[in-house]
Amino acid sequence: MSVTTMESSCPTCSATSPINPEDVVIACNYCGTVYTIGKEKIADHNFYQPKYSLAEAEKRIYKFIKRKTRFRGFNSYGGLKIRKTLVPYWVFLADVKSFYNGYGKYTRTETERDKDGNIVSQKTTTYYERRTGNFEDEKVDALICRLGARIFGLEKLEKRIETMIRTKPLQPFNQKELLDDMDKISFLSGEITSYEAKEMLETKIQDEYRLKAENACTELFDCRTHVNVKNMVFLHYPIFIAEYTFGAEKYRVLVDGVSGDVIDAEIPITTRLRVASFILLLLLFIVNINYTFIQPIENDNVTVMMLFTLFALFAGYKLTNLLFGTVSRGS
Amino acid sequence: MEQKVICKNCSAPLDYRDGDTIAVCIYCNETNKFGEEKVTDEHYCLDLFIEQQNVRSTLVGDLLKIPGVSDNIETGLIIKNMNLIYLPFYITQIHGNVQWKGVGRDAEFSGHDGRGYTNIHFITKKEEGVFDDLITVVKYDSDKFSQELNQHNIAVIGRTFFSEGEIKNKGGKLINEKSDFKKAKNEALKELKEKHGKKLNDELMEVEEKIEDYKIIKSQLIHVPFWEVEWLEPNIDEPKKALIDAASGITVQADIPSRKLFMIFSYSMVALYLISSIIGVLVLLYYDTVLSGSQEYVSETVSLRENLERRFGIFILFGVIMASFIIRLTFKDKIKFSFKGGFKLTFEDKFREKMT
Repeated sequence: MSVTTMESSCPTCSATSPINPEDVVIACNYCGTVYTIGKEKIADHNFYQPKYSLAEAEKRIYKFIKRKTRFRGFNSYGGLKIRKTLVPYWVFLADVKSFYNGYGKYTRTETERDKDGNIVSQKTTTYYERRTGNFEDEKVDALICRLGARIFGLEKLEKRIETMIRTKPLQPFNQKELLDDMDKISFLSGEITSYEAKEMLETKIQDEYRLKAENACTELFDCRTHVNVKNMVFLHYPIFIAEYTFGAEKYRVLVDGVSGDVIDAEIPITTRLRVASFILLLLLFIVNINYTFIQPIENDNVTVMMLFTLFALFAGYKLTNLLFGTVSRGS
Repeated sequence: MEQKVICKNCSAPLDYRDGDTIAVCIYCNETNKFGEEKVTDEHYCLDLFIEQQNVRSTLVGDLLKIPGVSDNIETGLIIKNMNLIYLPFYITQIHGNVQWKGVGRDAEFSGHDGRGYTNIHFITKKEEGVFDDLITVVKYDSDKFSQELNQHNIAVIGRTFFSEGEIKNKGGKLINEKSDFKKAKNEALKELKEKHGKKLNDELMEVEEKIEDYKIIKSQLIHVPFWEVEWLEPNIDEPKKALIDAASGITVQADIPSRKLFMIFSYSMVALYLISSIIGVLVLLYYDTVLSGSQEYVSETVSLRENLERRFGIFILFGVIMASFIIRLTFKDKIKFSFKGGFKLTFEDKFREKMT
């Protein structure tokens, strides 16, 4: 007999939900209760109400893609597949005290010139200084409850969640406010226990402060970071993961379910856009040739010259990416 | 966290009480005797998200995003061969606590010249502290395919207990892991110990006392399904390869279809920028050598010469940087998708080997 699925019964409504074998924090697919594998309910189960239902989100993604591709010759959008997903996070409020001690080395060069501007002598001196830092921060951090796994646009999503938690109060979980039936929502359970999450968070914060200290010093002598977790709650954060086609090509989109903003999206680079990029790239090249070889050089202004170069490199980089790249990203 | 005791046949968790010597698995009826060593490691595989009939459209959907690839790929691409293979990944979670004492370094400064200290003297001091870390190590554990798969992100959902029978039913081929759990755990242990060693090296010159406590929290072996595809593009006999993650539906790696016109165009663009840079160098040399003796050039102030060097320096640099942008984007043989960076073109491994 083969074993492919497991089920767990909810301590609140007794309904059985299919679970993955590695799940340790389980979300009931029917009533939304969150409980541990030992059937202990997690009291502090929060969420943010999604801004849109699936149907509304679909319309919004369509508008976004239409807006982003207006000038690209976009005419065959289709096959939008969209999933509303509640991603499990452990959210922490922690006091961090960190101290570091080290030294820094730097050099200073003094140049002596004659009245014609020619260099007469140059002297370089090495200086040393103590570098210390003392931080007392209150940190809000969110840690995804899945092991070694990723979703498209995850990094941007985590930053978004940390900002969201600071500005918008968490809401106790209420399945009636999800705007869609539970069976249409992919309700992810957690693979990481609260103990593991707390330990992982401490490691993450200590590494972050040590790296900051290492970068600040030539040699780091001491670095001590103490993390005191004041509060931790379980959060289900709504997102929309979508896939659409452009001709036969497939592209992905990630939408923040709370604000309704597109966090990360792959956008097609159409032939029309590539041709336009090529023309602009040629223009940039011609302007550069004209400036370097033809314009008089007597009155060159260094600041203007540097600004122009920075602009030309930035524009050149963007245009080259559009001309030769595979997809562009947008939000 | 307490480790699960699992069935030696199907890897499902066993229901047992302390003191039990036998537990019968409720899923496969296998009798597990606890007189022998208890199996405490977890073995899973992932569900198929991309079925055989969807492999072609997934591959075509990703290949067509590459600039210069002909649209006739959509109708003309032929799948020559396609195998479902299950590749092994170890995920190990390890906790380590190190209490240490020893002699660390500090510094004193002297010789203030009005701007800062010009001398440093290192001194020693007694120190003690604790490192407490929990890390997760993901490792691809086979020689088949590139070790770049170590960076592959495993699909979020759809884990089931490992069952070789189930894999065979789906027509899949199991690629065995080259190490056992013990080795995977040791590698995770080594990684955390190295991390602690580096931190200790920062803190101490001499370690006097060290109390270490390392514990494996979780150890999982996951077999992830992939479609290994051999395909032919229209009018070309030489087969090309692709690897598609069957659990998430992304093209992990694929050879790029031929795109001669596009490559000629890319070469021309690179040549344009490089030649213009060379012309820039020649003109600058001309100014410096031919005109440097002329009255007109000498009579001007130093700033004229500096302006010339600046302007041409920037022009030459611009050309070289632009050429490198294009090279970075186009002269690649494989495509790769990552969740972090989106779609990418990468050098083929063989090409990289030749280069080194």
